[in-house]
Amino acid sequence: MTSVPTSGAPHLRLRAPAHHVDPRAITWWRLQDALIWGAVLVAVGVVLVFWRPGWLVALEVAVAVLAVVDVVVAPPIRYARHRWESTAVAVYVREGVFVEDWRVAPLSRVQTVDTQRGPLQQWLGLSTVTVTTASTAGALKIKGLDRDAAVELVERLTAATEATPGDAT
Amino acid sequence: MTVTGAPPVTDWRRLDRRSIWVEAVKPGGGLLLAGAVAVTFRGWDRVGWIEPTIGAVVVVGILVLSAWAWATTTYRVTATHVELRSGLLVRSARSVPRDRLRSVDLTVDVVHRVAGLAVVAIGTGRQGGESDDELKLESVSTAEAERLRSVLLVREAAPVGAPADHRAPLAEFGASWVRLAPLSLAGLVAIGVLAAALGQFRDAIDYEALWGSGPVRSAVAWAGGVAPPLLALLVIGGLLLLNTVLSTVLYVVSYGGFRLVRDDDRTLRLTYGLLTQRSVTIEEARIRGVRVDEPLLLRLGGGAKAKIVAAGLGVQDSEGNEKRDSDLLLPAVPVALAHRVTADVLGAASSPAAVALRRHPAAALRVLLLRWVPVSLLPAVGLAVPALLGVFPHWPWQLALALVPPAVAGAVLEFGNLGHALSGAFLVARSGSGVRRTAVVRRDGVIAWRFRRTVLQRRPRLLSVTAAVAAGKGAHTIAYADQDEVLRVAADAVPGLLAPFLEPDPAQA
Repeated sequence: MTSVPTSGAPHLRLRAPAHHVDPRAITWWRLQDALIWGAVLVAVGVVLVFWRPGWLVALEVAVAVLAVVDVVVAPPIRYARHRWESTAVAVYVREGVFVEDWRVAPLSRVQTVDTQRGPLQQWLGLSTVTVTTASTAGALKIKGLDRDAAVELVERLTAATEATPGDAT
Repeated sequence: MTVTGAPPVTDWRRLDRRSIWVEAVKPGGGLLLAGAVAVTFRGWDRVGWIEPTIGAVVVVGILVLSAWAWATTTYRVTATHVELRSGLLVRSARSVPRDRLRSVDLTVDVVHRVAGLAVVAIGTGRQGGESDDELKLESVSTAEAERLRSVLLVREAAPVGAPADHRAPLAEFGASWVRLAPLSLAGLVAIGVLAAALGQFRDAIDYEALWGSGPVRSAVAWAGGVAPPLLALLVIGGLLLLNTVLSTVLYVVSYGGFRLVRDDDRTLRLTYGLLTQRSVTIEEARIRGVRVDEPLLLRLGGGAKAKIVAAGLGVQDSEGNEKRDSDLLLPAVPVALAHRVTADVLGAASSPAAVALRRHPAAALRVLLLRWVPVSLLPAVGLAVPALLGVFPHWPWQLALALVPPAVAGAVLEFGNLGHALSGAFLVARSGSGVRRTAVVRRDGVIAWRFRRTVLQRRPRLLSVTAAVAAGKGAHTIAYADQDEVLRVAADAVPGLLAPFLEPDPAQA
């Protein structure tokens, strides 16, 4: 059991978890955002073909600029913020830019470990791992892991979960 | 877990035959009531033969469906499982392992009582997913309900040498409780519900005749002669009086005869209610904590309510409806009693909900003001824009500014309520503005931590910590606490879990 590092340090913070997710996650988020923004741009563009008031053109341009900035800038920041770690005792995940979010769940309380792969993720060879506990407030998501790394993580977590008796409540 | 106790039944049983009639009484009664209202307001002469015919067909239909439901529903208790088969067209079969059962909840309303029946809800505590949450038997005889209760929640023999007198009630309805009843707005809510129900019958009511009737006309004439401020005072006073009377009546009817006992088989049993009788049995091993709620008015009157934090209670049932009051521990009672019962239920020497809590930094007040005030300004801003454009009068947005002081008061109240503490085996978290909620959860019941911080919280070093618990709504938040302090508390609360993920903050050293 590690003691809380209190000696000589009045100020504490949650340290960054050890691992980044796979760098391909940046591409994944870029494509995701680009698809959503693209849908909006196309929808407005179709209207512009028939009807072209000045304010709508301005709106289209503004959305386009916002879209480009978001697709270029946001995913790398998101990648830098989203980190995870799994020790012998617990799973630890950090994410979020404007609202930072850290989650810690002890392996002894983990109930299920799932993986999801959307079409974009399948194409990029990525997986999202969800670790759930017996409370809806206690779910952890590691988004954009390499597929093989995800399989290995799930196996390890599942083994640790099965080693714990009881129903983890 | 081994299942012992009374010998299990293995044959399939049906619900009580009388439930065919009982289940049909409520929809049928509603229909009769609607008919009675229609006749009262429209007179017999305007009722033809069509409405009664439709009514009769519907009543017969309800009876047939009810009988069919009875005929297709069977249940049994085996050595390991409780199974329920039901369904009119779509057959459903549910099977729940007995060691997953957390609570047995008997409800007897007036109709059921006359028939000698009870509705049994067996809580399993699964939350989310398709497999939640309770098995409901509507309805079985009272004797069968009692039998099920004792069979289902007895698993291990009581330990030898357990204190003999376990049946002295932890709390019992007293006259001093009723004193607190008027400090609730339940009466006003009831008035609102009644008004809405009357609105439902507006087609049936002849408003012109009502408006023209003697008492109404003289009341209006009288009100016209009274000064408006006095009239407002009279109306408010009248509503308050009505609320006092109705709240008290509702309180006594709902919670009269309240009794909380600890049974020998290590379960808590609550019984209460004069008309609809409720009897909830909860396995103590499943209790993860207690929440003490103090609505502002009640708190000023020296009262508090309490809820149980336990898996399978106070969550949604299989239809997604909030389970009413299934997590109730105490209705509005004197606060000292609430704390004594809290301590008793949690097995603590004194109530952890009553310990001195650590206050949160003043910066939290700024965050709260930033959350409350802009929202309260929204209506004023929305009304001011057309006013400035000259298409709308100015007084509405000026009036809307009146929302700001209550918002500031709300923020200040919420700030005053923030607090947390570690007390023995328990983590205490207090929050809420209008209602002060003090959650006391067992430290070993915390199954995950979640920490959150918005951009606004970063510089003043505020951190919100959520302890996930496999019970009730599942999350208890310590909001806007001092980062260094609350990280230490969280690390201490569950030893060995959080410490490896903490480090000194060099930027602040």
